Amino acid sequence: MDTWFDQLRAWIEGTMPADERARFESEIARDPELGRAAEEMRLVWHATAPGLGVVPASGVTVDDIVAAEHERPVTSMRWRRVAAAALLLAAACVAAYAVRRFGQQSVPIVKMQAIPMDSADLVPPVVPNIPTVLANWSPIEDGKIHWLNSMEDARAVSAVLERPVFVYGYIDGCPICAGFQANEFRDPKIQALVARSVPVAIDLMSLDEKDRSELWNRRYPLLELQDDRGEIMRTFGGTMAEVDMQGELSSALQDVQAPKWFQVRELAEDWERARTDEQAGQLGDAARTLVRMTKQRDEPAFAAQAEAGLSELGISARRAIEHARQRSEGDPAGARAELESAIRRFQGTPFEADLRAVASAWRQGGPFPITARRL
Amino acid sequence: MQEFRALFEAERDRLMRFLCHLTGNASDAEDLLQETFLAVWRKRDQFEGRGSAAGYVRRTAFHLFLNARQKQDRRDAIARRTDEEPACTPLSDYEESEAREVLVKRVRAAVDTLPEGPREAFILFRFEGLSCAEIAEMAGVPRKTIESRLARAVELLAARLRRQAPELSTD
Repeated sequence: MDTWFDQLRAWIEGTMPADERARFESEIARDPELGRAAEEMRLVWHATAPGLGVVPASGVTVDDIVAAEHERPVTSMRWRRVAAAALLLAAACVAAYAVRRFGQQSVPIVKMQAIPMDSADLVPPVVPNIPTVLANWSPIEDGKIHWLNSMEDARAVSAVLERPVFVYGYIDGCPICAGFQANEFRDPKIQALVARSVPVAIDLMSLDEKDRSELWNRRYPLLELQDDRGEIMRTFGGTMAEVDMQGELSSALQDVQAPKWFQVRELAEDWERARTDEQAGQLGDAARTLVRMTKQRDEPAFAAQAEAGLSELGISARRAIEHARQRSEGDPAGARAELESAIRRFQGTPFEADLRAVASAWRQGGPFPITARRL
Repeated sequence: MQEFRALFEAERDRLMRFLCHLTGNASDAEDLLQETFLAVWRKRDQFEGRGSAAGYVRRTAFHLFLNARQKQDRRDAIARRTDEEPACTPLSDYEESEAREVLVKRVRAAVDTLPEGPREAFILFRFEGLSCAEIAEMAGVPRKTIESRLARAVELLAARLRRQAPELSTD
């Protein structure tokens, strides 16, 4: 029997018989929720019509398969023998070490593959926080400059993207500022230069008297570039409306590339999603998003933030093991349940395999395994 | 041998596309293709005359893909890969126009950001033309699970694609 999705596909592709189509359309017209879902599917269907790209032809032949069949057993047997011998040797060494170190008691040793074990790893790296605003903002949209209106946000964005802050201080109703808004800031060439920075507009009347007069004395309307700590990089020349906006921006930002704002927004959104998944206990989804973020190279701050996020997850997995170890001395059943719960919690993360390895090495009634750093 | 050769010739290109869509890179797809046919060759006595040979090949390929993905996840945990694999997305050799190339890259990027389950379900449904029942059978999960994965994929993709092209908004 066709599911709703199968019917939806037939409807979108126009392969649904006319009578069924009429029935289907009246069904989705009656139910706004179904109608919305159908429209959403149609949108995705059309947007993904370009497909996933050209697939190169495979060079594999039947003869390759047959040859592989004849070659593989020999190789495989040889490898198996070597691997078995190596495993036996390694097991003997570990057993001898454990007997010598722990007397008669056999304590299993589990080498962690992903969970951090060095004490230095227990502090996640300090990296600039990704401001929430980045998930919903880019400086130029619909032919307009979208000014941030908080210096704090602008400096946070500047720190992450390593781009200067372009500060525009204005007063509501000021005819010079209205002139800039109507002319210079609508100029695509100026907008392209502004896109290399983090633009922030400050209503000077919202500041206290002291701050306002300090900025006023630098320039009015205030037009300057600052770094993420608020250090002035350049205050524009000229007086009042007499300013070469394009020349000033062009000269100040000549060595600065505009970030790929679209990609920045997606990465910021990925970061938000990973945090939400983490808070909701969906650690597998969070970890997958973070791993993907670490692999992109256009925005290193996002990769570093994702690394730090993964590192925090790893530390949390290690704490779960340590907690279970402490509990195992007085309450082995409780500790076992705790470990099983951690495995479920970390399912789909790079740390799941380590947790499983500890649980599997911890035999009924035996001592809690020793966890060791991977060499 | 003749039957195997005929099956290979009939299914190779389709399977390559199937695996390329799932793995996102040509070299992994080709490795899996070879492993799939090797597995089918070894078990040729078990499937002859039973069910669809093409379906059997595709199921085998999908299971090998899932196994490889698990191994890859483990490898990623040990040392995150930094090298670039040859992509299945268009290359200049294939003479795709620049505009189309951009569109395809955008689709690939959007699909690749989906969580694994919804991503696989969407690829099989949208680009391989499989029904929900076929996907459920192949993945060994209830059909309802596939439906909810597809719903999630569509929801995430719609949100992403609307942001990329606000004119697509149905609001």
